[in-house]
Amino acid sequence: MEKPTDQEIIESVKKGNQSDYSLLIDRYKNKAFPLLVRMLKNELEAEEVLQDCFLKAYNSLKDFRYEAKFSTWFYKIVYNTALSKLSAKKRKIESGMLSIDDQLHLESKENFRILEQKDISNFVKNLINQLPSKYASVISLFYLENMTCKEISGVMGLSVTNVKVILYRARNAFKDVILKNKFAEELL
Amino acid sequence: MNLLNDEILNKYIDGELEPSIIQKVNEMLKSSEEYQKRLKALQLVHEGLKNITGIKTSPNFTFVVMAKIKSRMKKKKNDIYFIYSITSILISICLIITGFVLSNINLTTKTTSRLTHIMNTYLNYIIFFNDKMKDILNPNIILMFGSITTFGIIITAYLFYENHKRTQTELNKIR
Repeated sequence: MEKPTDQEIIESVKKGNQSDYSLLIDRYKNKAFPLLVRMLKNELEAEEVLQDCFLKAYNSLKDFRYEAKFSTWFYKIVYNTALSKLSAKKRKIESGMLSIDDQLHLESKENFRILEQKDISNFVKNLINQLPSKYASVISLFYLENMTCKEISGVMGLSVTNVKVILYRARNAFKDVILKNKFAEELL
Repeated sequence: MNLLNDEILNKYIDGELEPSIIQKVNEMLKSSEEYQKRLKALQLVHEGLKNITGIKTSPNFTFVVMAKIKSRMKKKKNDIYFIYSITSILISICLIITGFVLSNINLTTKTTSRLTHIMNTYLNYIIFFNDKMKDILNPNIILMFGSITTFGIIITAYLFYENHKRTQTELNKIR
């Protein structure tokens, strides 16, 4: 049996089948969660914010006109809610939202050894946690949600060029750590 | 293109370069071990990022969200019922008063004299209320007036309290 599309689920919820919304939650909860964790750097807080995002989306569902994909619309809610949360907690957003002209400096944990390809994933996973929110968001949306730069620009309200610059900067920062630790030579 | 900078290498990995430039990049890569190292490092990052496994929410996440939605919907429904009932009571009172006033106006009177007639009727009512004011000291009337006023105050206070509670919850969420 084919899975219902997002549009079919939304129409069903709009018609009053409230419980069908759980299908959308199941579909997007584990996709949006990593983005929030990377932005807020706290899993408990991220889960709480994600619940709020689903409630907000449910309340606004009647106004959803399919001008964008549901996923893009929902990630926009998630991203903006996370920004509000960061702002409300009086964290310095500037520190998390570096200008794209700023340089990224990341450091690897000492004694980290890369013996196999899978170790690289763990290695970069640790580095992502050091990234400022904006960079972490772009990386999460691009690699975990498989979104295009255009879709990410729609979610984050940035130009496609800026998204690409952020993506390249993040990758370059990771690359510098890899080169510094001579991991590339080990795997060459 | 004399140098292979990181931007070009990133575009090379993403397949965003023109075929002619790809050929040049390949040639430059063959000629320099330094470029190969940088490309390898970027490819490692790209592959590493692609293979990252996502973090998962708690198992009862969907259940919790659905429970919250249901509870909010129920509360919203109750609020709507409450507002409807109060509104319908007020409308009924207004209709009764209007009906009572209209029933005392002779609608068959000609339009020109009708206004005078309405004015006279209202004047009569004012005189009537003036007379009735003399009876205001009647304990039954005071009791009725007090009950209605108290009812009104209670409703206003409840609505104010609910509104305050909702605002407080919203503020807590932001915090």
